[in-house]
Amino acid sequence: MAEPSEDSGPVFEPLLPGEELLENPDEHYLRQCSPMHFSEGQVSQLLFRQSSQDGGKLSGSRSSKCTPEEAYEFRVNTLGKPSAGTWGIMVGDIVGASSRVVDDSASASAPPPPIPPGHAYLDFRHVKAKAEERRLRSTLTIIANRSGPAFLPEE
Amino acid sequence: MADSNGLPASEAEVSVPPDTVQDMAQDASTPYADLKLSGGRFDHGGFPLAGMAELANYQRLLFAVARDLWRQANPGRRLPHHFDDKLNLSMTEFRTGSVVPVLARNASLDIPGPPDYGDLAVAYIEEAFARIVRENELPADISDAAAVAFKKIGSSLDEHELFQFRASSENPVKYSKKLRQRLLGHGSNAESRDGLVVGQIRSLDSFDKKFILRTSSGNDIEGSYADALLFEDLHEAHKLPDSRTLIRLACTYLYDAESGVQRIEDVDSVTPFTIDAARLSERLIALAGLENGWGDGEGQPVSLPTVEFVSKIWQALEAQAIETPAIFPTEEGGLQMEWVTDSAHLQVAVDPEVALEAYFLDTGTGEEEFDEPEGIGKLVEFVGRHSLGGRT
Repeated sequence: MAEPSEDSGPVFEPLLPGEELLENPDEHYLRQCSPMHFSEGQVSQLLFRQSSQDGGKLSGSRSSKCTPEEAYEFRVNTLGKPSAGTWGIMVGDIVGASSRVVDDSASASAPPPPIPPGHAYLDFRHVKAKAEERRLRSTLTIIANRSGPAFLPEE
Repeated sequence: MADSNGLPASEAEVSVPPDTVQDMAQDASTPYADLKLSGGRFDHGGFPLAGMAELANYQRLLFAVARDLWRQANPGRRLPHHFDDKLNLSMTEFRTGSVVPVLARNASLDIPGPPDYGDLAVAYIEEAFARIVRENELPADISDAAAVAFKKIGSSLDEHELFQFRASSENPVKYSKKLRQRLLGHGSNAESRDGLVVGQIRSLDSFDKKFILRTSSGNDIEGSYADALLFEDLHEAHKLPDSRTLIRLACTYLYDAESGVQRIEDVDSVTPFTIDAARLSERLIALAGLENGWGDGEGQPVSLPTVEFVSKIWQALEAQAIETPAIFPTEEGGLQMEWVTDSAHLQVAVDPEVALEAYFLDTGTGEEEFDEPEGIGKLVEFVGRHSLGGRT
């Protein structure tokens, strides 16, 4: 059963054993951007779009355990997948947008190996209405573009 | 159950011994080609339509090889009239108990005296594929048309399926997708791929079934096609009036990591589309060329009607002096246009069926609007209403 919050804000799923909520507002959630979703210096809202396999948990890394460059290198060299670079959003901004970031790297619910260093997810599971999801994704897009890339590979 | 080569056992057969053939015409029918398609879809009961494409490719190969053999034996002479027609194959029956299409020729070659070039071609093809499997080499003495036809065999197979020659013999020749890819990449670092290439036809040779495609980056790529029916589409593409209209080829091509597409080996389909906005053309052409599985493996090719519609939207925005957006592909095969500032985000999504959604959010003022505008006019009004799409 989901935990209600005191101020009737977002209703999140309870944390599983081994999961850790990121609470330092200055820590960053790091996300890899597909080359197709970066154009003319701008990242797309599609950066925050869930795939059918995400289950409401948007994969990324936490900056206290992984640098933006390490996160990029892991995706490209370990997973063999393309990336335009790493974008970071502060945990405080994510909380302000009515979501949260959870470090699941030590939990049984972590993705199967190889697991990105400092794996954490941006939680979408509490978002039920399409309008709410649109608002959250657009808010994150604004923040990501305002911050700019945390790491870009050399051309 | 695997055979001695570790390859999957087969069930569906494409051959029949002579005593089960039924005559189709007044001319004597001859049972033909000891072939078998097996594994994967061919093991699920019935003969999948995908198998028809492979049989059609086999017929084309038969024509090409028979022509080569005739020309080698008759240098300087013209092929007899309707040479290919006399080699046409058809299915005459299905065996009970399973779907077993039987191939037969409807007439023998009306050429005095031996040899029968159809029979020679069948035997030649069987031996050629035995050599391909052993040594990864095509015969040296074949025409370009025959070489293309050889390479087309197996193009629709997946990794579990086999095209077998001499299927009922003790040593069938088993040809797989992997062996085909090895053949196509032979002699170079290029790998064979099936996918999409976008450009314009610069020249077309109907006799040799060759063409030159110019890509948006100005590269000229040589190409071939085996299906004569494609000539009309390619010819229409060659006549396209201006640089706004391009074509997207679904094709098999050789790809090298350093130089990109090196050569188009064969074409499955030709689809024209128009980009009205010249400034946008490079980006839209790149997006129109996205292959199935782009991104993390989930991306679908962008719908060409969506590409055309977005180019019209772009033109309309330019006409209103509205700043034009960045454009991104969606995994479903649509396109998304987006504008963003430090506090606001405006997006327009066009799905593969060309349905529109527009959304605006300003985190500074709290202003928010969602709509599904009908038509470009309503869309431009929506974009213009939000100063994010600022006037240029």
